[in-house]
Amino acid sequence: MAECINKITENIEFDCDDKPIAGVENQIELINRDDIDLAATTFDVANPNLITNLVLKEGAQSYRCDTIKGLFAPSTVPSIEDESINGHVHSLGIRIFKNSPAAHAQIDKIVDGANLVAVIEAKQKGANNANAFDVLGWHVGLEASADSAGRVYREQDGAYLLTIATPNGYKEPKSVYKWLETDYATTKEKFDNSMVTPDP
Amino acid sequence: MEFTVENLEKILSLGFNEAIASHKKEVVAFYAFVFNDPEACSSCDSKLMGYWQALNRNGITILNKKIMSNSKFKIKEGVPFLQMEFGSGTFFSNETITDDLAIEYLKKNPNRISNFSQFPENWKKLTGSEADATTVNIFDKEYSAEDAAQLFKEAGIKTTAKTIDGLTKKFESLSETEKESLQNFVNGTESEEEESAE
Repeated sequence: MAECINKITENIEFDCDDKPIAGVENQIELINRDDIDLAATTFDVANPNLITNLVLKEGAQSYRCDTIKGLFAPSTVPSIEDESINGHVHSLGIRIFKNSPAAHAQIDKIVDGANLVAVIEAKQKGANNANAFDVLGWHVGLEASADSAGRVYREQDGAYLLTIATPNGYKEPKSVYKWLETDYATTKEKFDNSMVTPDP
Repeated sequence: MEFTVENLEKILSLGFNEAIASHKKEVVAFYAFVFNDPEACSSCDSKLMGYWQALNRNGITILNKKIMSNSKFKIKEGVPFLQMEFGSGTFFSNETITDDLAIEYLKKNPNRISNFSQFPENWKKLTGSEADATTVNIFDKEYSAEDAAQLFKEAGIKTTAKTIDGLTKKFESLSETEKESLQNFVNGTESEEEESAE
């Protein structure tokens, strides 16, 4: 058996102090995957699912997408294959309420093939909010999906329903990456600052 | 003369007789530096062969370690190594980092400074990304880094920046409302100072 096919090594217990809470907060950050400095981004030595410093290239930033009532629809679902390696499919439903030319220009860029990584803030944040941020699409990127319903003018209050997801035929190797830089406050500051590394 | 591996290799390549004939002072200086011997003696001919043999045996290895441990850059705790570029075969850790490696790494992207816990104040100048400034210019008045940080604190502007560059960037990134509020605070402070002077 190849060494990368792992055995599990820890209990996954119910934590009475960290009961499950559905949903996400009203802000996500979208990063052009090409803007990530992959060499400089660091991961926790003990837990490879934890990003400890998410570094963008010089001059790059992430782009905010807001919603109301936590109406983003992110998901990570295992993709089980009969004749290939298993993996994960990430997906993020975005409801775009803005009906401006600028908003549509961005929608068009996504539909035209932008390859994105999404950072979302979960409602369930864990002790000291250490589990708040999830990163989707790290290895493959998220792209416009055929599941997008678009805008049907008399439905959904006219909102444009756009889904970005792991492209068909691809799989992410990780269910999700968590992201925590030092502590929640530091991480949130960077999240709110378009993922730009603050000057030391 | 600089204590570099390259210079030591050049001297060692000469062989004992030629090195002592033409570079005796350098041989002794290298020995004193590499083996922390401030009393190394350049006029004691009987000791020269011992110095030479010691340098030949492990001078380069020790010099390398000394150069690395003198790096002004320290990688953050929890980061075992850094990679120069995605796909690159150049990796370095706190045990193998040199200033040159760190500067080359930062030249590729100044945002990578967040992977260091310790770095020289003028790292931006070293990496060529910015000329050195010595003060923070706030509303056409020059402040030291300490004074600017204190001003921000008193004006209720949150920042973790402590350096001239960081504080200048923070000031430049303030919203119009924040700038107006800071301007009012500065004006208020100046009025108080004038009143107390009178």
